[in-house]
Amino acid sequence: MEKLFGVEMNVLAGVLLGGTVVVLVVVLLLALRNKVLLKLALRNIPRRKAQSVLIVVGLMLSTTIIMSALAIGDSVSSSIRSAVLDAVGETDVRLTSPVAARFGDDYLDESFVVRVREAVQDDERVDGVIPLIREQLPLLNEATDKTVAGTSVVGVSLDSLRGFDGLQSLDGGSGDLTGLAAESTVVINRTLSTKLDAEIGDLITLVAPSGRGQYRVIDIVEDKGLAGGEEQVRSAALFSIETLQGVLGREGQYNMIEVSVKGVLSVDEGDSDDLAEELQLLFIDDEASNALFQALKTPMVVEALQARLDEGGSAVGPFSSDTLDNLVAELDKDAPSDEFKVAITDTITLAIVGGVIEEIGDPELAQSLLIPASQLVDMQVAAIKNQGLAIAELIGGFIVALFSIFGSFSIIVGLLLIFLVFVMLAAARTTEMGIIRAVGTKRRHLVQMFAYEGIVYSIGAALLGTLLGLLASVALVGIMGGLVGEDDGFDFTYNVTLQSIVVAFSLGLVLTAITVAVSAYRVSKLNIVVAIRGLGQEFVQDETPTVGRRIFNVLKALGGPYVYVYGTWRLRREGWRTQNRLGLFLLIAAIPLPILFFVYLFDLIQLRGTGHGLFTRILGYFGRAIPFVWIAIII
Amino acid sequence: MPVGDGDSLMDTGQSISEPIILATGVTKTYRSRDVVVEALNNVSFEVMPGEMVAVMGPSGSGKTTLLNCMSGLDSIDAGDVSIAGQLLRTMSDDTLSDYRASSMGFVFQVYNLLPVLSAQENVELPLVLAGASQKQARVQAGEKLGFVGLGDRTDHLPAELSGGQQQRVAIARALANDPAIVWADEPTGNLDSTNAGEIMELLVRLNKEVRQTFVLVTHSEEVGAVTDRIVKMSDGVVIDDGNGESNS
Repeated sequence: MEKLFGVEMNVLAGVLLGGTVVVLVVVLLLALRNKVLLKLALRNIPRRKAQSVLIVVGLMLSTTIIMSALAIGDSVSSSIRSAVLDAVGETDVRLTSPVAARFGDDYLDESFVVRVREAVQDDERVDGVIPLIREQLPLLNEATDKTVAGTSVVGVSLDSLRGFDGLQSLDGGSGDLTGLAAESTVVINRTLSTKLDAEIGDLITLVAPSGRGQYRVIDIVEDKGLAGGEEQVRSAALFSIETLQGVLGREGQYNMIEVSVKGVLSVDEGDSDDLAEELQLLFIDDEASNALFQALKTPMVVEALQARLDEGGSAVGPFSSDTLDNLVAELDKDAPSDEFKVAITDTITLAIVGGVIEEIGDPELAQSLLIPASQLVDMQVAAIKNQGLAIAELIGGFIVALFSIFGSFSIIVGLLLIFLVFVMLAAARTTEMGIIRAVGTKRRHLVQMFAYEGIVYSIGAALLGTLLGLLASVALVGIMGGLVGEDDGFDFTYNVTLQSIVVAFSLGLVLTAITVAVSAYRVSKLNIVVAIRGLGQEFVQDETPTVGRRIFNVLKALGGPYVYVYGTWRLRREGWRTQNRLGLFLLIAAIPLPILFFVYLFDLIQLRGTGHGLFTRILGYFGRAIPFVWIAIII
Repeated sequence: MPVGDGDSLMDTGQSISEPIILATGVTKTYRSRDVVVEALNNVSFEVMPGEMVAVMGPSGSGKTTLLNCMSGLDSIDAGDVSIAGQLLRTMSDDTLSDYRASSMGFVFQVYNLLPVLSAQENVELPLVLAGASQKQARVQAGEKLGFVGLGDRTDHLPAELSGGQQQRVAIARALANDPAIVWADEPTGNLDSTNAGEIMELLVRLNKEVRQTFVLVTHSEEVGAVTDRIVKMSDGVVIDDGNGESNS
């Protein structure tokens, strides 16, 4: 996974690791300054071994949840990624006919192929261009009486295989398509072979509009690259382009041209996008784009587009907000720029613009856009590999968000547990703490002592929690993999990145350390005499809070739920069409939770043991319950 | 006078005719739900530098509360306590902690040593808190333990020492920074007569040799007999301050 809640995982891991190092270094320096306090803290750990083990087990809960959520996100993301890579193989950019311009005939003639080849012939980024036919047709094996109704049937131009030669035979060797030059031959992929129960040498039947034809299977290859199938159809059969053109009655025609970019994936992502934009500009009709530019460059349209952008969320979709943003910015210029042309050719962006024009309700304006929109491009260019990978990233992030939101309840419980564990730990050592204070120790020394002890527990808990989180995620991915059957053509494999492990470990350690610090502060506020006598702090006379403190407590108790109420009200008011429903949901549901937790924790400290302020206390408890109710409503 | 320096408290030229401890109109009330206990009621009394004073009275008379309030371990509801001319209520919690670490020593009835630290480390703690280096603390703690006759028990944990030995460690800890005032709450309360006699001998010796001020809370007539003055309390009031005056 590359991002978590919109933040780059590398950045997140770096920041959290930095935070962890800072926490550890600060604690270490403080400890070295006063070794007696360190001894006091550390010697308590082995004093009660069973208790220490229980504390570590209790503390690791939040780390375990974070680690398993991240590992599952990584697995989902990488599984989808590898499915995308298998499906598109070496293809980085795909050029297809814009259906709107051709009224249903989406085939291209040789001239388009020539134009593309000429455009990239000296381009060092490109290592192959292949014209193809991809259709879905039924195939059957009469010998076994098995049929696959929708098979991805691919017609391959055998003299254009440079850059697309990554086929792999089932025996591990490289797949060879040259045999397709012979008449009536076919290469099938593993999925189709399984479904048809077909072996090399078998005859399979292709059912086409022009009639049936029989083809001998000359090789069976893995579901990768040209034989990777399509999004929903993993069964694929490869024919020579001439064979398929003949069967379909499309001599000399293709329905797509694919371009392969050199280099490994991490390097070619930027190149693919650049190349797609450059190729798209080649196939844009300048007159049509100019007409669209002039039609859209009116204050009314720009304002309406800006309003749609501001709405965000499902109104613009996860991938089109940047493109629409570019488009609106480019409308400020005097003439259509390349950026404008690229933005307006994005089909989703064009659809959003169409929707906005329709909402404006000006029929003349709508009509003036129809013809230029249909003539805008001769070929639609898409960086399909990058698009697929972006979808994989989005789904992976969504899964992590989902797990994190549900897991956040457990994390909060875990943090509360840490707080209680430390308060109870302190309660068991009240007399000792009273003595330590009596001989001249300051409050901050007590906080330090508990922090040293807590950090040791935290490190143990973070390590153990990370390990258990990994084990839990292996089990969960196994279960999820079992639920997604092989027939769905999706191979769910376990994967976890180093960044995720660093994030889970550091986040677990930092969260635990913060909670330990808060509980240590709470613990340090003891009455020395009462502590030395080993009595409860309820024997300490409370200070009567001021009116201002009471009001502050009430506001704090109300503040948390208000965030949820406001967030939900906004969602409802905008008809659930806010800027980014998922983002807002996360903002409402996830971000305030840790803040609320500490606000309420502080409340607990302030209200604890007071014989007064019943109203405030009731509000405090009410406030604690409200967020859960609202989250339930939102979900 | 700088706070937090025990030596300076003893050597700042404070006149021996001025009290080192002065309590005026001290009132302390404990409230627990419906029960209100007036532990100290308008108590005033003073202790001169180098004096050894015993506070005596029946159980519940407010002796320990008085010690706690005068030493700054507990807060007071009304009145004032000043130590060497400094009002305790004007001190922040941190200043008071520093003050306790460097200028006061405490001896409790149940020794109250830290169980995870050795005798040596128990004595080192107030030294380190008062700003001594680890090395200085080690040397000084060793000296104090030698002074109380435990030079050969420095590495022992409290659990490995007898009651008398533990109380000696507690005295060594109280004396670690050579404080001007030593507060002792029933210092012989948990000891047999032999050990009690030895401990009292030690405290008296310190009082005579080092001229440290001692305030002892005790039930024991024997302990009271070796002090300079006995302050008698009953029901939260000083009924006899040993100078022929009372608050009642």
